[in-house]
Amino acid sequence: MTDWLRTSAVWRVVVVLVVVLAAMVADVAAHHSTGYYSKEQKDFVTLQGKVTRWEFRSPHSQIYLEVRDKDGKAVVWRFESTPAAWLLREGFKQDSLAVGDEITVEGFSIPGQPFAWLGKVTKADGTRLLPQRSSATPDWWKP
Amino acid sequence: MRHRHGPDNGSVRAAVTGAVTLALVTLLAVPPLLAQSPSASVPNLTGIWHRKGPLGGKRNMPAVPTNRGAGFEKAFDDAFSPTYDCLAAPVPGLMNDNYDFEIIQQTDRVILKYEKMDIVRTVWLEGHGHPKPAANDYVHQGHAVGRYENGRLVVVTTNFTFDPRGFSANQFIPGSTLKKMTERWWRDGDILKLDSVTEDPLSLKQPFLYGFEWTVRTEPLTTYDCDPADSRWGAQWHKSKYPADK
Repeated sequence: MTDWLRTSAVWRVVVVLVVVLAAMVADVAAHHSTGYYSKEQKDFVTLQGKVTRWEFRSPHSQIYLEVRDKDGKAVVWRFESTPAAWLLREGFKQDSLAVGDEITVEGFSIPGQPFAWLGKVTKADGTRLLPQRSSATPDWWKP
Repeated sequence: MRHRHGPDNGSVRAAVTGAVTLALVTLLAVPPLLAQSPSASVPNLTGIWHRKGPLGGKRNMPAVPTNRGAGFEKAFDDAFSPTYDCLAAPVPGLMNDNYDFEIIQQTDRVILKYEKMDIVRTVWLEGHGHPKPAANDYVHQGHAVGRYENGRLVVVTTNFTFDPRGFSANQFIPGSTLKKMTERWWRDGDILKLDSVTEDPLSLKQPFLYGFEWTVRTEPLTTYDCDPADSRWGAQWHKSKYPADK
């Protein structure tokens, strides 16, 4: 009987913990899960390149960045971010970027792919564009 | 000699004057329904509203599914999510997303315009002869009927189509065609408040409670204009729960 009570109490604690943890994310929702972007530091990228496309839109704004790899070959990276409505609140505008801009971008990539979730943009004049943190932004990253 | 011209002119004049006076008195006495000016019973909810936080600072708890609802969620494969095709989650999930919205109160209806996916909900106010939906008439955001009661707008929404995102945009406890949502909206100074209860006997073990607060927003809403190709782009990266077909 005592064993059962102890076991039952343990399970009650487990259930409460699960509910509390689930509640911590209950109020946050996004367009869809972005779990395919890695949060590991080894997949974090900092790239310098030229903007070839800037899509200020929904559900995901995107920056396409032409980067030269170590052999000098041009590779276009796609950085995905939050919707235009969210970026506006963070100071982004349609004309925040333009094709041809030389920028440095930090992001969290899909391993082995030239696709990443946008962390921040630093323009040639030092201006920073910082989207709101989302579920795809790892906790360890400090802009 | 005095001529008579049909009915006595004096009595006709008196009748017309009386009718006009009565009409004027009536118009002045009747509450200005068209203007929808705030009163003790009709709260002024019109405006654009910016997300503030959970009602009273009390965190909203997630929906608790029945075994049937939990089984569906476990089996559901993300690739099926209608979100990938620019279809917003139905309420209440639509409201629990980081976007603002607008309320427009009209004489016989209340319009809710959501920044998320540019969704528009119409709340048909009682007492204006709006037709009821037919028994087999289902709508993605449901059919909403409203009334003003004790300073609150009370909205009851039924006739939802089935949707895997019954209670949240990112969870897949399904909303069945039996889902019913009751919202109570009121204004406290410049804070808009919502207290809602959603029931679904097939999917929920207990009613799902959702409350939130908004502050006045002065900028217009941002057009969402969902791009279908962009919306579906992420689906290719999700690993299916199921083995590939051979």
